[in-house]
Amino acid sequence: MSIAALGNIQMTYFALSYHPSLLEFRSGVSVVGPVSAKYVSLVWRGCAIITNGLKLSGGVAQAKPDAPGLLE
Amino acid sequence: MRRSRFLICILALATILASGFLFLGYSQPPAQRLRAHGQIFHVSPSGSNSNNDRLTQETPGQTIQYAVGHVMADWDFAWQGDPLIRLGPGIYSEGAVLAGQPVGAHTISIVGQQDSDPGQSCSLAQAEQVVIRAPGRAAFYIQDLAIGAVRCLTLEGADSVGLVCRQTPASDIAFVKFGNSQSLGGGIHANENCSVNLGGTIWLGANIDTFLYANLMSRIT
Repeated sequence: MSIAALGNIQMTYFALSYHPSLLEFRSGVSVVGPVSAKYVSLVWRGCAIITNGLKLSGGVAQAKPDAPGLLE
Repeated sequence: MRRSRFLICILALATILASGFLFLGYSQPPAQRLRAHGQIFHVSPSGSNSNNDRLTQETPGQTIQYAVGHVMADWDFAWQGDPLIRLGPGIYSEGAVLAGQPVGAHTISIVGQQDSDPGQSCSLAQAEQVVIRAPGRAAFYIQDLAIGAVRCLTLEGADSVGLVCRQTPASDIAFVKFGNSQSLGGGIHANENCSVNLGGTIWLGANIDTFLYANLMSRIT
């Protein structure tokens, strides 16, 4: 599976995972082309973003350190 | 004399009962669902919801929502194959809300001009032939145990979200272009125990506020 940007794509967030949810980019998923996210992708309250090594534009971080999720 | 009065009373009572049943709609047998075998339903922006049966490319319905309603209300798929709604080229002013499952089937597939090979492959040029422009609302809203497969088309619309789902076990999105001449407010927003699988190529054709959003025990993979 690939995500292909056609031209310079601007986003506010690439990915958000809140309230025990899972967002996984399986092994082999690629992002092709220029994508620019204004803010970092966020996990919150026991959620997960599993990138399997994929670099998301803007990066991935905890929304609130006192209510963390899983980044992998 | 007494006997004839009794018969007249019985006849009058029978007449009253019969007209009561007529009034309540009991006079006709219930409408039968049509039996399908992996039925394909055709839709085109130049089609007609009222005059066409949607069963051939030459007799397409006009709107996706109407075709979904037709699938849900009029057909029994009898486990002989899931319904497939095939969209002809053009620009559609709305997508569809899917809720529940068809009788005798699980999945409603809504596809554009994809290849008919087993891989159902789709190029960018094919995906761009079918555009769902739904400004201000979700192009596709899948909820309440509905299972949808959306393939080979383009979604756009100011302040629109390409796909919103809630309370559904699994839906597939493949070979879909998000944003075209118009941007999108969101790409895929999964809420309240919704699962979405992405496949094939996902094209990003215009700016998007939040591309992937999983909330309240949902899953996007």
